[in-house]
Amino acid sequence: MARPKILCACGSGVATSQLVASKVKRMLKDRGIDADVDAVDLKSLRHYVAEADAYVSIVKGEEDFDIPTYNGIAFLTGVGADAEADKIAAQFKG
Amino acid sequence: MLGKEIIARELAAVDLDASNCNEVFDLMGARFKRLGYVNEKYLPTIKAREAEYPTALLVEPHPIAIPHTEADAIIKPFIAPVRLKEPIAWGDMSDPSKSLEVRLVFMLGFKEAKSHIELLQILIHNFQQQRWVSRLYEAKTADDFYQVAMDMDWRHD
Repeated sequence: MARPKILCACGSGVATSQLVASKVKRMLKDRGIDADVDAVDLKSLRHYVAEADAYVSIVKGEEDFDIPTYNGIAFLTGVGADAEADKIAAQFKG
Repeated sequence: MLGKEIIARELAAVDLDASNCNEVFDLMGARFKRLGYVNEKYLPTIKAREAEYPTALLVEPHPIAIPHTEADAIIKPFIAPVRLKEPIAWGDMSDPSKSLEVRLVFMLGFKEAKSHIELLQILIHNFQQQRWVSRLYEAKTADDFYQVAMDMDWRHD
């Protein structure tokens, strides 16, 4: 199977989304999944979504994308991070 | 990597009297500029950014805000820990239409794109240590408050 492509977005695509992307990548690796996790800014997000397998959402936006979407705030607050990483991993396992 | 020295004693504040985030920015922004940490771009960009993409995080037991803006407004990197006199409504990062009651604000100034990710990771790791967060609330003076901030675990998971 091709490497999973996961997107993460925040206002600038530089601060919180990069932190979450790096955390998700590491937690997925711990779960045996080697994924590409990229951070983008919210305004550009819709251009990248077509190529992505999943979206880790930090900011609730106006649009709903037609790909599996996960709770990115969990990786910032720590609350529910493991459970969310399990859910993402489950999408790509088997 | 940047060290703890970027938590600046001269930028730490307790009992800041402000009724909304823009007042916090006005008060602290003036201090940052006067002491040479930011240029004139800081105040307008931090207000605009916060208005569009709010930065309060629902960590337990109390929400914490992490306002920050573009590197080109920053002259010298810093972490300014601020405790407000009273909690104020601050936009929730995860849902801009909602607001959280915030008394702790960590104002961040990063000069280059790379260094901030590790710093943010360290901060987030520490925001999850409830004992440390409680001590920030309990600190009596600006000196105590600063000491607690400096007691941060300078690593992340």
